[in-house]
Amino acid sequence: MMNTILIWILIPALLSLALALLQRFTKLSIAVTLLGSGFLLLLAFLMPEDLIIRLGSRQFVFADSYEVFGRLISITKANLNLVGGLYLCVFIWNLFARSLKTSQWFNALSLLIAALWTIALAVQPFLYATVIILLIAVVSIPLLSPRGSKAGPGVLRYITLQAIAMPLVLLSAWMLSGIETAPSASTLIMRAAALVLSGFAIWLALFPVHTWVPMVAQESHPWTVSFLLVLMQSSLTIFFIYFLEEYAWLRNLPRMWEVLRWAGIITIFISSLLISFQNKLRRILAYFYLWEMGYALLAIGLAQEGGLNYLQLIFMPRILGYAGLSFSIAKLEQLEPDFDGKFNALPGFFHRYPVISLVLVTSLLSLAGLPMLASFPAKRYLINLLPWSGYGMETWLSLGFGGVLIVIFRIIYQLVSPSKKEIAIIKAVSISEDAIIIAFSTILILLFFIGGFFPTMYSEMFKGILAPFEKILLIN
Amino acid sequence: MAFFIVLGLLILPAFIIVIIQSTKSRVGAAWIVALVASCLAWLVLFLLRLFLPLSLELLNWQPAELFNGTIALRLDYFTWPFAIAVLTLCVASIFTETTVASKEDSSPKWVASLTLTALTLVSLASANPLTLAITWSLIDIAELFYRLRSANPNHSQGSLMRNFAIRLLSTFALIFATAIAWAIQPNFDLNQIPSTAGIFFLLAAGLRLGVLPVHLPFTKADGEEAPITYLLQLAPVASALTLIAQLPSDFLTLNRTLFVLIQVLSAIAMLYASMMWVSRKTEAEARPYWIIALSAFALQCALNGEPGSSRVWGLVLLLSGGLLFAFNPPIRRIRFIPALGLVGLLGLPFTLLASGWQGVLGQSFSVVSVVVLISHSLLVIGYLRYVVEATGAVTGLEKHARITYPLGLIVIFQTIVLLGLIAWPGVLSLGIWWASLVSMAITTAAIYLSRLLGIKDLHEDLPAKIPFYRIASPIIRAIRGFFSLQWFYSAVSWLYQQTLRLETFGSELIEGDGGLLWSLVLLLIIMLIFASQAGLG
Repeated sequence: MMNTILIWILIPALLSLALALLQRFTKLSIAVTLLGSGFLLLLAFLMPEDLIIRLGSRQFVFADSYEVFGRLISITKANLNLVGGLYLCVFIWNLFARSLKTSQWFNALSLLIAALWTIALAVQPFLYATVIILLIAVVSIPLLSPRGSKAGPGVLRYITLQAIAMPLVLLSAWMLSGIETAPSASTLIMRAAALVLSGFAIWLALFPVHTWVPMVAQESHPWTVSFLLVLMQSSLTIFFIYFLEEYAWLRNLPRMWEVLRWAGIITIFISSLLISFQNKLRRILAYFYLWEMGYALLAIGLAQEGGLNYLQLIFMPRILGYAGLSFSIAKLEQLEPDFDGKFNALPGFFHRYPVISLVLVTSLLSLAGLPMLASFPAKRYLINLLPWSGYGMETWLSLGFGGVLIVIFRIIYQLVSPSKKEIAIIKAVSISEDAIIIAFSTILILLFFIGGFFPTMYSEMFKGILAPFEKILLIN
Repeated sequence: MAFFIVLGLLILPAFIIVIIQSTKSRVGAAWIVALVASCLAWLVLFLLRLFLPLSLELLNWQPAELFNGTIALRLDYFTWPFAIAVLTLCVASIFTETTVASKEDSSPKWVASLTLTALTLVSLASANPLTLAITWSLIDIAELFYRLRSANPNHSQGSLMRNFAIRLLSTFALIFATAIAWAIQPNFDLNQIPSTAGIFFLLAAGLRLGVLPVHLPFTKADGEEAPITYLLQLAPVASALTLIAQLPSDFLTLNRTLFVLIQVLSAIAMLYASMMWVSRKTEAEARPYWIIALSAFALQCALNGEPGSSRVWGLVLLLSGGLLFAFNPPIRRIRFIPALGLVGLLGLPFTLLASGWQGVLGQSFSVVSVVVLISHSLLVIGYLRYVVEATGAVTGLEKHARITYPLGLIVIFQTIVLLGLIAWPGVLSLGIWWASLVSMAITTAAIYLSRLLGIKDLHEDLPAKIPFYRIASPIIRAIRGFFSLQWFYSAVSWLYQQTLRLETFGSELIEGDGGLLWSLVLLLIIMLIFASQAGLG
């Protein structure tokens, strides 16, 4: 009998080990990673509900749990949608990792990181995941600071904060183990709640402990950063819902859901405000991560109104948005060696690199929630879920769009402004967009539009993610 | 289904023209294709008048309990007249294009005209806010890339971006307006907008039209080589006008202060734009003010609780404006044709505009009514001025252009007449007959006065002929500066710069060496605030 743990954790971990040895053979390494992640994602999405694959008269039955050192690791069909999503990211990001000159460890470590996130989401008791999350941060270091380059302050801050967050969450859980029935207003519960929320605030990089995100984004390769961020965001939000599901004392705290909604709104507003003042493309990626985190929190906070449905709906648009944004930034940096990432260096790029510019603009507009693009359906319905009866959350949310739109207009304006260089040079360089760039960009833009017009397609992909959270869903 | 035929007749020829031109340049064939297809579409759309209202569901997002939204179209008495007007402009633009003697291939313009018209028709026929938001975005993106494509890469694109930014803001304003209405009535159509949310829809439309607050839609992108067609200027505003026409009639009765505020702002926009319209150097320069002024008239109708009446002002904006703007090159011999546009503009009884007076003047005569009448007469004066100033004597027109050019203009005129008869039941009315007479009296007096002062060229002679002009000039400039709201935009820019400084200081502090500690201290403070405010401790 086969086992889901074996397939989605052990195999990628072993592949990762093999790839670490094969890293010098670039093409082979890429091929193995793409085949491996492609197989894993397809199997995850195509796996039947009963975990039995039938090929003619033969049946392959998959067990969904495995015990290791007394701890249970379980990957059910409900988990598989998210696991498939993680390997989808591995597949997409590995398509261009080497050509974009990321770390030579990318192929190996991306698979390992996906496997580690899978463990984090599958381990029981789930508190052990906190250690795995710190481990992921440590494993990310070679990607964020490739060999030969000095680890920047952002990476150090990232590791430090992850290390601070872990004990906060662990402490809170240990403090309250076995007192599920305590009154919800007891001092012990209040302290535990403050600790766990602080821990998650650090993990999720909420204001004001968000600083590592723009710092890391500035220091490290955008393609690598976006990969780590998209995995982290998708997994951590689900992990947070696990907490709410498992701990009734946390879930039943007075005004807990309202606090979460406010946390989401404030994150949206502050990230939007901060993004409007940025003048470096790499940092835009970081602030969009925070902006998306705000929406994720808002969706969780609106769980009672059905907000979690839109959390699953936004996964795919977010993956596409980050991929498009980081691809265009990385490609522009690669094609223009003098480009320092500042907005004022962008003039003329629209005419020199029309396709990449188009991807950049479309990704930004999609993440902002422009109608007809992928993020719009989820964001629209989340906005509609708010009561709109006063001037509180709604006003801040509306203002939260302002900053994002300002930065998008600034970027587009710079892109279409005339180049300072000679026209002759422009013409000479304009052939730099090869067929691969054009093909990938076209597919990406098409996927943005598909998401905008046919959101059902993306919602179906991650449909089962919410199935394990019966207690939260019962609140509705 | 028939509406799809109209759209198909616009989209398919656009593709055909692209294919024709990609193999071998056959401009004549491309023009014929564009002309025949647009004329057929025009005829089919006219026939659809017999079958109104028509509904069409394009996409239904599933599962319904998750999305609760459909992308649907509806053609009724609110949307059909605008659809006809836009399609008429498209037909006319292709007819009149024959006068343009250019070495460059004009077919991309026809492709753009056909595609933009098709998109605008879909936008006009949007049955619900979801469809409207999507089509607004689609039009804005399409227009942006078309203009960027035709723009000179060596020129700044400031005005282009400003225009795009305002349009995008209006789309987001529409999304928020929808959210407000959603809280009262989920999944509603545009003809069911809840009264309490009406004001937010009005703001979204006002923003898109350039009225609330006053800002100029651009005439052409900086460095754009070819002059853009009037279709590209007029068509995008049409869908905002249909939105106004469908607003609930009682949406401002509850909040008197807000009503007065918006009415005053709208009246200022109307008067300012009318004054600018009459006083610009050229008609091309004055075009954006025409759009703002007549949009403000449409807004006034909605504010007076008669949004349906706004339709005629919107149609005048498109058709009378289109007739004047299409008169390029301005040939002296046939300037009586654009002058026929006054039939639509004057508002005489039993003409198209007659039914619009009631809406714009409201139930009782007030200061705003005076502003309305003065603004209207200024628009008429300006219109007359640009017609009279058409003194070109183009002689080198090709034979076919001598027929097609006036024909294009006549198509617009006859649509004005036809819509005055059949646009919707009850359009042919006496209206408030004295309003048009008062407006005409003001116009006549103004013309007589200018003759008396010896003003022949309004733009050149006015400063010299007005008594105490030197004293009045700075006052006029100050008033113009105030109305243009440049001071407001400068204040916003100043505030942005100051906040930027603060942000830079904050970022340096929080991302510096001691930043980690600052972050944790701030987190602690926030947790304490949350704990106390949210009842966590």
